Order: sequence, then structure tokens, then C-alpha cells
Amino acid sequence: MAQFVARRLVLMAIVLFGVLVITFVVSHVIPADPVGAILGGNAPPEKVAELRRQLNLDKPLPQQFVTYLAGAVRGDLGRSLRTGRPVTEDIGRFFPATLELALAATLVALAVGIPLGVVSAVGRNRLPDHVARVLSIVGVSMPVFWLGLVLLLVFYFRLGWLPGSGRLDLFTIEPPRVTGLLLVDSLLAREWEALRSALSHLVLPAVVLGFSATANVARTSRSSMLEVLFQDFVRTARAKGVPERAVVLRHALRNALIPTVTLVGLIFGSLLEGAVLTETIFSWPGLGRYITTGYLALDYPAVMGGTLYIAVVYSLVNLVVDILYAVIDPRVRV
Amino acid sequence: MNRAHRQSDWRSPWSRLMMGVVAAALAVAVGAALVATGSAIPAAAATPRDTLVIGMSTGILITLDPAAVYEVEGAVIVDQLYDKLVELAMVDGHIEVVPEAAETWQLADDGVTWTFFIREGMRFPSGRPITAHDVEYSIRRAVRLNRGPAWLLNQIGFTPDNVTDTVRALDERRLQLRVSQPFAPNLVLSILTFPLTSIVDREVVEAHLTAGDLATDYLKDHSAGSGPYRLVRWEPNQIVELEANPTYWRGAPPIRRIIIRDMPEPSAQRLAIERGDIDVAWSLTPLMRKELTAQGRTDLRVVRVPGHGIEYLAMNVKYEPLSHPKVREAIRWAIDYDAILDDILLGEAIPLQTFIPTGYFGHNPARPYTRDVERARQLLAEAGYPNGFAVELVTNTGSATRADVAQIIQSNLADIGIRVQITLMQAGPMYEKYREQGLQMIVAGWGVDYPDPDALAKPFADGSVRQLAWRNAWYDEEATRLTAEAMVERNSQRRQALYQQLTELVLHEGPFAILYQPVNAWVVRSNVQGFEEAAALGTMHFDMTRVRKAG
Repeated sequence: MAQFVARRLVLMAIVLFGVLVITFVVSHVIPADPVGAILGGNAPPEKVAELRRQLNLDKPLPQQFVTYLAGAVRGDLGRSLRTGRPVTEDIGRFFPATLELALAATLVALAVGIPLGVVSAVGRNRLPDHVARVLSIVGVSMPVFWLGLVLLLVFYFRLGWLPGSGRLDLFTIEPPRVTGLLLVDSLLAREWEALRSALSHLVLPAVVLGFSATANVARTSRSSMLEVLFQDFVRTARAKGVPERAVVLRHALRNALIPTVTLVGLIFGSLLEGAVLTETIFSWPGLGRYITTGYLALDYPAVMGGTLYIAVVYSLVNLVVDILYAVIDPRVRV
Repeated sequence: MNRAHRQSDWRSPWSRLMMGVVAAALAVAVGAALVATGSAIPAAAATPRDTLVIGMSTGILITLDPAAVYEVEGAVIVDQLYDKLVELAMVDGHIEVVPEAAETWQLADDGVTWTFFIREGMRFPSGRPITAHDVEYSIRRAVRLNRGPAWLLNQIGFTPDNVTDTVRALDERRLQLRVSQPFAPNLVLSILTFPLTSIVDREVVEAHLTAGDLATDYLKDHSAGSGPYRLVRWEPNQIVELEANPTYWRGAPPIRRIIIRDMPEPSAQRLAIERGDIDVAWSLTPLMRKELTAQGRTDLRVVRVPGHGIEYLAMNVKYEPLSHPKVREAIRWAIDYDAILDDILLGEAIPLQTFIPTGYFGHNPARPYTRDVERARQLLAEAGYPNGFAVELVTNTGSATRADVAQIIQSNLADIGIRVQITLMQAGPMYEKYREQGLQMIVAGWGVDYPDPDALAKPFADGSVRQLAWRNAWYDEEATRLTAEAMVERNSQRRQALYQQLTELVLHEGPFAILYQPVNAWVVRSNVQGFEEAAALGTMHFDMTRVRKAG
């Protein structure tokens, strides 16, 4: 087991190095001038040259890369060109919002996707299956932006049931920051008003973000459910006269959920990335927005740092999932 | 027994979940039906009467330190937090410099020594009175900090090296500024209206100094001024909150609290203002404003004021065909200016063909060019290009209108045989190439930094300044001479005449076809009053103390 984990850790380090190289190369090779972007179209050339010198952008690329790499290893991702703040500080400020959103969206995806998969496997090629399949296709093909605006239009604009933007109501006092996850913080502080407000703000973005992943979950759980339903122990259970519902939920589902565990890691990771659009529509102050605004201003340290950080979290989640999987199913360890 | 118990445990949450899914699906269906039937919008949830809630894209905000802020949105906020020596006001349709912390001022006969007399009775929120020493400290700090906007002060002679001599408090009430040469008075005064010269509380700043940063880290998200508002908090990408300053020298403003909510997506701003969750939508698209106007709603209105900028087509004279004055003249005659104004900008722009916008001293209202294909063709033939030529036109992404404007120009020029290939670039790389004289044609804009014609003459007319004319490789001795002369002309009548001459020259000889002057527009809820006065200067000076809300 220890060997398995060690091997995975080495692999993870290689992957992260790859991510770092790629983000660095991409952001330095595209023909763009961050200093010009920061100073705007009016800036006189002397100012541009001066700032470039200050930011070390006049150094050769390999040297810039080594400097960046040395910093990254020590946990120093440099300073944002735009704000002058350390990128790690910015990540600490914006990541919890994204984490909360991605967790909630994963929950939505699982809570809707698994039952959907089960229903369509059990009622294979009958109406429930068709309905679930249509929903899956819709989920995969509907653009996040469009879905977000439609839900805003219905639940915020027309019905007024849910708020449209931000993480809290305007006049709700934010709970003291402990984890940065508003739900957790307001629970810790026992501030029920903040909890209610944070929950109601979370619903729409989490549904929008989780929607496309729902289809993925439903498809996976459907196929693994089908596989399990034809296995001997299920047949045995049926033969023993166990009620159908118990066969499906207790015997089959438990076994069918194993592939879904791996999927959770992947989904969670893709939700971290997918958060960019959702965060823009719902004015959600998260890391996705931070990276987008950084990108628009050609703020490379911010973009590289944010991307690297998400890659780290993504790899860690996958590592944990793989370990869990290995624990559940020893065959994987070989 | 145990078994059965567990079994029911399994069953019920799942079935409840399934029910939940069905219920959610139903809710979506009902919602969709509601949208389809277009039922009435529920009554707006009004914001408190003493609070103004603004929806704005705040991703662009970098710092609220007055000595460093350079973005429009940031400058608008800083404007509420600080007082300066002098301020801008709109007087009879003209932009003028008016007193603020300086009650009066004198320019000595040498033309370079300015003395400002500081108003009595102005205080910082700490209760400490504002003296000439505070102003001295603030301006020296801005010059020494030497951030992006510092070049504005550099160009009238203030540098980190000489600022101890050139910016001096003579006593509590008198501040002396010595500029490097006898400039036109309005030029110096209008540069002093830039947020850069905001008066900061010396004691607050010194209490937060860290090694060599002149407290810019602290002032980034704290305020230390005497303006009508104080900064309560700024959560990046989330919210900016201002609170009325009870010690403001003109008396506390009617709006006690200003909340700026980050709303990057214009559609979200639109839904929020229609519902009444925000009072001001800062950045809707022209199309959205048109739709709201067309609905004839009484609870919303659009506020429009002239902007401080110019949109233009520039022609690089390094590119062979464009070096012929007649070719450039032909292009100016070929463009359909009205189509650009009406079809692309939906009327939200001011016609302009000279480089000094309306409202400015020295503005020249001449608009000789209209679309005249015959004349354009003839000029092109006279220049030796009867069959036209091919040219690349670059403009940037991220603008709602520039690509469309470029397309109109493309089709206009096609009519006289000029084959235009449009290239869209990101603003950053585009300006980089432009700065190296590396573009043939560009559709771009120029935002004015200070409201004096010199701020436009230098970029648009003077090819010796490495700005717009230079970027298009256009140099005209006469234009350079006139720019320099007008910059130091202290007689305003003669100065007016110089700008008249200069604008005419550039209008016909220059490398530009000036397309229009943009308009700034906001959508506000109808109970918000005084927004026109607050925004009269576009975003050059935004005076939130004029805003109030009716019941």
C-alpha cells in the first residue's frame, strides 16, 4: 500500500511540473504585453519600459522560469502584476468561495445523478430510461451560460424566490472568517440569518454548475448498475425472494457505486474549472473569476498561480479517490 | 428485526430523494411556463432610502490609493473619498476648474510660481484641520511614489528629485508650486484636478508606513481623506462600501451609504435593476438601454452625458498608400459616419470630427466629412490608386462596438476599391504593436486624462511626442510648433485661435478619421434624483453628494 501511495505521489509531482511548464510557456509565448495592458493605451513608452524592468520581464525567459519555479517550490507564487499582492494571498481569499460552490455542485450532481441512473437502469428501455437519457443529453449539451441566465430569469427575476448574485444578502452580516466557507462559518458562529442567506445564494449557482455533471453521474451509475444487476449474487437474492426494491437498493446499488467513487474525483475537478462561467453569471467572488480577470489583464502570475493551485487540488482529490478505491478494491493495488 | 430496520432505512431516504427530483423537475417546468406566459414582475424590493446600491463590474479595480489609481471605476470611487486643491465643474456646458481645498490662487508674473490659499475649516475625520502642510505632503508623496499616473505631474515639471523645492508649504495656509515653464494656466489647473493630487491625512499615512512603500499598501483599501465619504470596506470581486463622512466641510451628503456590488455580467445588472435590487446599473450594453427605453417603463430611466474620449480610425503613413494625403482624404470621405452613430451606437454618441471633444476649451465643431463615394473615388485616382489597394485594419476584442465599426468601415472602403482585412486582437498585444508603429490601420479610442486641449493636442497633433500621431508615423512641423505654442500661451483668446488652427490642420492633413465622441450612460431607478448633476462630467469628476432618493 505504501508503495502504491509513493508511486502515485511521484506521478502527481510529474503532472504538476508539467502543468507548471505548460502554463508558463503558454502565458509567455503568446504575443501579449502585460505591462502595456496594465498601463493602458495612453501610457508613455518610458513608463512601459520602467515597469517592465521593475517586474523582471526584461530578463530572458529561462531565467524567469527558474525564478518562478524556485518560488513555487517554496510556496511563493509571485505577486499579481495588477494588484501587487502575493498570489498565494489572493488564492487564500478567493478559493474558499469556489470550493464551497464546487462541493455544493458535486452534491447536486450526486443527489440527482445517482437516482436518475438507478431509475433508468431498473426501467431499462422503458419510459424512465428515456426520460433520464433525454435529461442527460440536455445536461451535456446545454451551455452553462444559457442555463444560468434562464434560471436567473425564472427563480430570481420572475418568481423572486432566490437571490441573483453574490454570496450573501446585501445587509446580512458576514460571519467571522474561519474556513472561508460561509455555510461552515455561519454554523460555527451560530448565525442563522447568515446561514439562511448563504444557502439561498448557493442554490442557483450550485444547480447550474452541477447540472452538466449530473448527466455524467447518471450515465456512469446506469451502466455500472446494469452490469451489477446481471450478476449472480443479484440473481441469488431475487431467487431467495428478497423484495425487488431491496435487491436494487441494497444489493446492487452498493456494488454499483464503486465506479462512481472515482467519478466523484473527476467531477469535482471539472467543477473547479467549470466554475469560471458560473462565477461570472452569479457574481460569485471565487478563484475562477480571479483567474478570468487576471487573464483579461494579462496578469500572468495570477493566472499561473491560480491554475497551478487548482491542479494541485485536483491531483490531491484524485489521489485520495485512488487510495480509497484501492482500499475498497484490492485488485487496483497491483 | 435489525435487518428489517436497516432495510427501511435504505428505502425511505432514496424514495424521498426521488420525490425530490420529481418535485424539482416540476418546479423547473412551472418556472418555464411562467416565463412563457410572461406574467407580471413582482413588485420591486426597494433599497433603503439613505443607501445607494450600484451594480458595476469591479474586476478592474486594483487600488484605491489616490496616488496610484488610474482606472475609471477606481478614480470614481477615490473621487468620493478625498478633496483636492481644485475640482472640475460643468458651467454652462463648459468644463471649468473650480476651488475645492484651495479657496483662491495666484500665478506670479514669472508664469511658473503658483500660490494656493487653503480654505479654513476643513477637517479630516480625525478632527485634525487641513493645512498647506498636508497638501504639500500629499503631492510630494504622489510624485515620489511615481506610479502610473505620475507622468501627469512629471510633464509640468515635478519629479522625485526636485519635489522638495518645487512643492512647498509657505505656512499653514499657503502652498507654493513651481512648474518648469510658463504653461497655459488652465493646463496646470486641470492636471491638479486628477485624483493623483488628493489630500491624504499625513498622520494616518505615517502611522501605516512600511519600508519604502509610502503606505500604498494601506491606502490600497483604506481611505485617509476629507471627502464626502469614507471607505468602510472593499472585498475584491464582491463589494465596495462607502459611508458618509460626518465631518465633511460642505455638510454630510444626503445619501449616507453607497454600496457598489460586483456584477461582471451586464445581464445580471439588468435583472437586478429591473427588480429594484440595485439603484444604478453602471455598465449595461447600448442595446439593453435601448430595450429598456422602448418598454416605456416609468420606474427606470437612462442618464446620458458626453464622455471624455474620442473614437477614431488611424492610418499609418509608413504604409505606402496611406502616406498620400489624398488617400487619407479619400478614406475620410468614404466613411459612413451616420451609419456608425445610428446603427452601431444606437444614437448614444456625439458626432465629432476634430480632436478636441465638446465641452472642452478649444473645441472645434467643424464636421466637413460626410459619405461621398464619388469624391472619394476621384481623390483616390488623383493619388494614383484608381484601383484601390489592400490594407489591414486592426481593432481589439473586448469592446462592444469596435469590431462592428470596423466592419462598416470595411464595407465603406470596399466601395472605393480599398480591400480591408480586419484583424481582431486583444487590447494588450494590439497596443504593443501600435506603440511600435506596427499597424497599418486601427480603430481605437483615446481617453482624456485631464480636461485641457493640450491633453489632446500632444497625442493627436504632435508627432514628436511618442503618442498617437507618432504611432502612425505622422510628423508635421507646423502641428508640432502650434502644439508647443498653445501649451504655454497664457492669453486664452490667442490660445483659442491656436487650437482652431491646429484642429483644422489635423482634420485635413492628419492621420486620423475621427469617428465620434462616446457618451457615458447609466440606467437608474426613477426615485434616484440628481444623478444627472452627479455625472455631469462623465467620469472625470463624479459628485455623489448631488444624489438623493425620493420616497
